[in-house]
Amino acid sequence: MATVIIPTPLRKFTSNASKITISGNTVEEVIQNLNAAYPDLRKHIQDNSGTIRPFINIFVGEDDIRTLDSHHTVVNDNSHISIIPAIAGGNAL
Amino acid sequence: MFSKYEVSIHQVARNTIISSAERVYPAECCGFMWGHNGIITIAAEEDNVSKDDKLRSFEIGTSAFMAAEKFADASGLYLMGVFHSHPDTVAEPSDRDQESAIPNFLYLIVAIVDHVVTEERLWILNDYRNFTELYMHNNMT
Repeated sequence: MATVIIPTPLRKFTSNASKITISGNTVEEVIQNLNAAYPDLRKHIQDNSGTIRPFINIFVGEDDIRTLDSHHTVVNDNSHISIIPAIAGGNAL
Repeated sequence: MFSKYEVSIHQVARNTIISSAERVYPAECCGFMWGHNGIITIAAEEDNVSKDDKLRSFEIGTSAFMAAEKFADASGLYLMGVFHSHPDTVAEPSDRDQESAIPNFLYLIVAIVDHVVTEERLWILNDYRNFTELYMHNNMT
């Protein structure tokens, strides 16, 4: 069971839990199981096709999964998976 | 966390945000806001790490976000939202703001023209992923 760390703005969808232990052998399986347990969370992490939203970053430990094996990154019971929203924007047209 | 329609801000936090907008003008400033019970008590500027034109965009790094969460846990405050400036235009969310916005998070936008802050407006994403404006008033504490 990996531990998923939920950012403050999304804790409303996890009954205010900041850390959740979820089963899964890869990041993709963990996210799927997380969304199954907390359905209201899904639309803020993934789009309708199931792709992680571009402004959501997933880290395993200190590493962005884009630098690992993306959503196929293997996790274990000691893994800490952080969901980190990209804080971005601005006046670009 | 905060009233759906009303949030107050301590003057010291407001001053931090205005000073940040003025200091980095004509680029966009950005930073986090912490507080509790609908009151923003602290604001802190963060580095704008946007790889695009910083006159028209901002981004706060993931490590800064994680540090902001840790500060909230350590201080007993709540990470309430983010501020940024819109140089030489209005304090309304852009398409880029909306695209990257997350729910349950305040977005304070400061308009600044010719080095002078002209407008401060507070927004939050609604259930339809559109921005709703909140009323923000000064808390003189």
